[in-house]
Amino acid sequence: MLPMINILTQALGETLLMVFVSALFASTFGLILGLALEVTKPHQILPHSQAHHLLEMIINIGRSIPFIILLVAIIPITRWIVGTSIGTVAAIVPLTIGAIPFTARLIEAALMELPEGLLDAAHAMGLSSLQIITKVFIPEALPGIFNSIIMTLVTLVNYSAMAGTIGGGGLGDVAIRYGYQRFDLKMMLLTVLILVLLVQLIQYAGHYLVKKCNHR
Amino acid sequence: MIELIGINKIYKRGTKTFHALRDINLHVKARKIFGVIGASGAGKSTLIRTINLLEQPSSGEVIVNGYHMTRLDKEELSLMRRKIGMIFQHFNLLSSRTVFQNIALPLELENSPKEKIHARVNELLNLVGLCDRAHAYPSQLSGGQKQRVAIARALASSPKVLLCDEATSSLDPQTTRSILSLLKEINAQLGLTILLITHEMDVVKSICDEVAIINEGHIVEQGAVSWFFGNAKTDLARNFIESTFQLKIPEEYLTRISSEPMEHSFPLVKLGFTGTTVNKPLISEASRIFEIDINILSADIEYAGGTKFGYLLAELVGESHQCEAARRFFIEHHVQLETLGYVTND
Ligand SMILES: Nc1ncnc2c1ncn2[C@@H]1O[C@H](COP(=O)(O)OP(=O)(O)OP(=O)(O)O)[C@@H](O)[C@H]1O
Ligand SMILES: [Mg+2]
Repeated sequence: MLPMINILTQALGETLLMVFVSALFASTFGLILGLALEVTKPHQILPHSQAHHLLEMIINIGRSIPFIILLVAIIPITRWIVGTSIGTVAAIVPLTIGAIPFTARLIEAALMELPEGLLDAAHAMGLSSLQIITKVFIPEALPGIFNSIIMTLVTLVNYSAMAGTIGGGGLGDVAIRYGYQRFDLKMMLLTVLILVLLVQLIQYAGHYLVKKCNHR
Repeated sequence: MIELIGINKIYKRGTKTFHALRDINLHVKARKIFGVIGASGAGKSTLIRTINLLEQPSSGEVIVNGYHMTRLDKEELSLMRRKIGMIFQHFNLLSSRTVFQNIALPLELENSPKEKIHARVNELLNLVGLCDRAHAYPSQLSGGQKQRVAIARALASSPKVLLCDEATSSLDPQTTRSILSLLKEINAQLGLTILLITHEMDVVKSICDEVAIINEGHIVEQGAVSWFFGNAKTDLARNFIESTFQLKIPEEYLTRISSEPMEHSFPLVKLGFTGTTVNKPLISEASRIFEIDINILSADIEYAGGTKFGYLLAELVGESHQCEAARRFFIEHHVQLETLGYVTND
């Protein structure tokens, strides 16, 4: 019994580390990329069609590569960033890179939802482009941004199951190794249960946060 | 205060072009309320948006308070826009900020100290009568209250000019009146110059000093409101003016009306009094001279700028040749006369 609990707690720790650290980076870069994608559109604050098309292309490519392939393909980059290509910390790099385009798209969608008139009002008040981003776009889209981050977290829980491939560990890896490969049904069900609870927890906490900051 | 000289605006949609404003010349004097009226798609919004350069004119000059708007660089334009308040049909408040924080936003841009912002916002809340809603979010307010917040926000950096893009178009008549009287009040109290656009002549009638009519990108006619109601010549202007008068043929008459004269029928006429109408008590004169009765069914006559203008519906009851003479009499005295039909009395 005890070794099983040890295995599970360690795996949970690894999952949490991978998911939350990569979500932090993915949200940051995704926000920047999503903003860049939105503000470079024709009637936006910094219209720039070449930059916009380039960003579009990067994001589309990023989203179309299956995660399991990305995981292996970027091993050299992972090694260059964290010094090793094996282990939990190393898994954070592909998880982050895999999630950025996804998050960026969600954040772009959240920004697109803002009423058009806001930009008119902001311009009429004499806000600079940077002020429009910090005082209007981000605060007004905050509920949508939080929603994007929640979806990113849940997706990362999912992706992290594949991190075992490069020795990242985590609950998904336990489920595959003990449950799928050794037919340990109890172990598999337990890990899946923990994953389900984790996703539920993320959703609840997220909804609470969104509700709190949503005054629309 | 605001001067538009030879403004053209051409929108390009792919290969097609659309000429939304054609050679617009407009002069809004300081401390006046100037109304631009036009039908949907006439170019009103485009016109008002060129003033603070939300829309870049294709050619022409925009001069506000002596500054050539089109010659300013990005930073100067931002500063200039802070001296031009603007309110919108859909209010465009920030939903993430409270009433207080919305009004404080323009002041934050000026890096005013906290205490100063606080004092100024309270002053503005007082002006628009929303002191008790300071910490509410816009979603908790009625349309009229939202527009009051928008007005307070637009006034925060003490602008000289206020632009109103259909500011009352999504409000009910009563709320419209209260917002209009607030605008009139700030125009008088703060000496603010107001340019407003609308599709309702009632708005112009109730608060504007001057008015211009826009149609298909052209200014068709403009002048002082008092002059305008009596003297506007274009059909479009007359239609807008007529729209402010509510004349209805009573239900009961509609069943008895025919387009041709019949036995024992009397003409139902619409009489229009304008600036050119001879200023005499024409109704009682006609009644006396032609020995007919003039039965007034509905009337909406107002007195502004020294002239009487308005319309009335009346039934001319008498010998048919006398009624005919009375109609000629009205026309000779420059009353607009329209025979709506003949009413049979049985
Ligand atoms: N960005 C644009 N691109 C192309 N055409 C435009 C654009 N904006 C406005 N137009 C056209 O210019 C004309 C005038 O539009 P505008 O919005 O100024 O009308 P409006 O008088 O304000 O009408 P409404 O009362 O419906 O608001 C319309 O025919 C409209 O289709
Ligand atoms: Mg409009």
